[in-house]
Amino acid sequence: MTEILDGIVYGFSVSLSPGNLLACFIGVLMGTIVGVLPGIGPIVTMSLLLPIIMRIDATTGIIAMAGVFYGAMYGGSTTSILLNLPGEAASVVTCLDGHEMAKRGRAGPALAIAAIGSFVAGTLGVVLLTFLAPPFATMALAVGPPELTAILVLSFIIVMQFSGGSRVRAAAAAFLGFLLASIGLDPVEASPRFTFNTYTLLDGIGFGPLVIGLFGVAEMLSNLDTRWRPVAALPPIHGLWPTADDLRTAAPAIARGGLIGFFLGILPGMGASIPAFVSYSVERRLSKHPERFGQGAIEGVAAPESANNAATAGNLVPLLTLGIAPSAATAILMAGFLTHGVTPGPLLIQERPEIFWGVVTSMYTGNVILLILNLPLVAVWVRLLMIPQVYLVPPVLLVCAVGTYSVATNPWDVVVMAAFGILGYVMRKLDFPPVPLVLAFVLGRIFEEALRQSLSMSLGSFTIFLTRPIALVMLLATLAVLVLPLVSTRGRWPR
Amino acid sequence: MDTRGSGPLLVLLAFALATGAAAQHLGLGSLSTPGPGFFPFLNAVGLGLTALVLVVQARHRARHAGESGSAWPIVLGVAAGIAAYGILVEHLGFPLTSFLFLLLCWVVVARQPVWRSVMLAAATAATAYLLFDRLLGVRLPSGLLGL
Repeated sequence: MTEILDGIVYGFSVSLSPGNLLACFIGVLMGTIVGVLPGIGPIVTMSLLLPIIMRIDATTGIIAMAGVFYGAMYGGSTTSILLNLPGEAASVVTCLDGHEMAKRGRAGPALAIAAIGSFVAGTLGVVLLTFLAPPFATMALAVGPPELTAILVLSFIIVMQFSGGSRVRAAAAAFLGFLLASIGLDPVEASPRFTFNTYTLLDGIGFGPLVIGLFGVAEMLSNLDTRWRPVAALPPIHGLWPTADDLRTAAPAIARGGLIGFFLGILPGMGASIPAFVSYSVERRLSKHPERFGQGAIEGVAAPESANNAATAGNLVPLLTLGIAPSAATAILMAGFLTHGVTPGPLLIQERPEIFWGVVTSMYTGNVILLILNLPLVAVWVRLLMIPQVYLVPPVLLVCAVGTYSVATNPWDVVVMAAFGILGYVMRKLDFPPVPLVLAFVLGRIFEEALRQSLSMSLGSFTIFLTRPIALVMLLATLAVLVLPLVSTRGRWPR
Repeated sequence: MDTRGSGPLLVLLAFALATGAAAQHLGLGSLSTPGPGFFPFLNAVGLGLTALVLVVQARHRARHAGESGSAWPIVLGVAAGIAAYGILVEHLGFPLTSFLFLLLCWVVVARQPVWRSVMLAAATAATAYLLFDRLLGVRLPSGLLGL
């Protein structure tokens, strides 16, 4: 405990330095803006920051990128509530009751409760991250190839089960991601694979071109379908502050949403969207008046907004302690670490305490800045929505191209990005989720290495995964994730 | 383009078969010493099976009514424009290539008046140059204009 408290004090001395404070402010400001604007999510923005953070201090850069990540959760609620248009995926469920409240003239309290819930749960998540990450890091040292293989199997099954839509399509996307990750040198024998005898492909496909193409360019290409129609008229915002009754009703939902968000966020593959859906569902089940949900229930705004913010802190636990990126956004954050030659994982706290504690404590400051930015300035963020898309799409495409080019100053990366833009567009049209592909691409080489090492250790026997306790628990959890939804759909799910 | 039928899924299936064959050629090894082709082969099999399931599902499902393919020429045109940007940026330089790309987007795709598109493209390219090259120190090719 003393070590943790010392770490917090040290962390604040790092994160409150002028440069890092400015990075935190810029990060959460950018996060809010991209959260508000539909189409430009935190994943693309963080990718575009990669070439910039390469040129600044590692701690400062990671603080800014993390700020974009959790800042977007705040911004995303604004468009969900006012326009029934989620700024990013984790705010989809907020539309259900948030927009209903806005239609009934209660947009102000809905926005306020979203900001307050985000702040309280976001801070709760950071407190839990502060105290749980160090013991997690110690435990992570006991994780060998079989345990890692089992953890990654669980991650991918979770992603496939909960990514929304068809599980078969999600599985196909993940397999495609693994195959794309196989391009380049074999991680065990260092022999070339699928390189077509070219030097360029020896290093494999770049993460930047892939992720910016799949998310940023594909989103902009999808906007071309809509013929750049103007945004609908905004409902009026009267009186921002919620009543005492609103606060009393929302408080338990915020607490529960925060806990659900954090603990689900730890699980690889959950991201921030699934915890938001789960917390909304839990609130409806617990409510004495479930019929109010979907009709403007304030708990229906408080719970998902709290959960998606706390989940961002939970997402950082596996990244900082195991070196595993549990979501597409944290995969980019991991790329940010790697560009500075820093490997996130169990030794991060000991080897680079300034980064670990600096980033963790910057999230306290970031949440305070976000509360200040989001409540009084809501009218400013709403104005952003008035910018016609016709003026946004070409500059965003240009920024995608510049961001991709400048990571390695390789013009072919821009061509690869365009190709992944087309792939991402086709995947959207065919309802293939892109997140499993990105996650498989990021974790593919680690997964392959762990699987092959495990099989070599056991002389080809798969029983190695059943004889090691952590691996066995993970495989049982995988089984539960696969089986429980089947039981649930047959009406035998325990209520 | 048929985005709901089985056409694109058959392409995915063919890709899985080709990748599986290539992975086998790399060498699968044995379970105790898996070779370079082991992991890609497993994934090619997985991709092939899922693609097959999706093809069968697509054959049993009615085509989605009203699916429009009218945006495809524009989408492919913009993607080709981005690819051309990557090929030309080191020859023409960042400011000029960016200006031309933005002009293409606003005139051809967004169908904005030429004079407005020229103004927008020039202002945006100049802002991007000042932001990335001068302010953030990102190394961008100077090309023909020597900027």
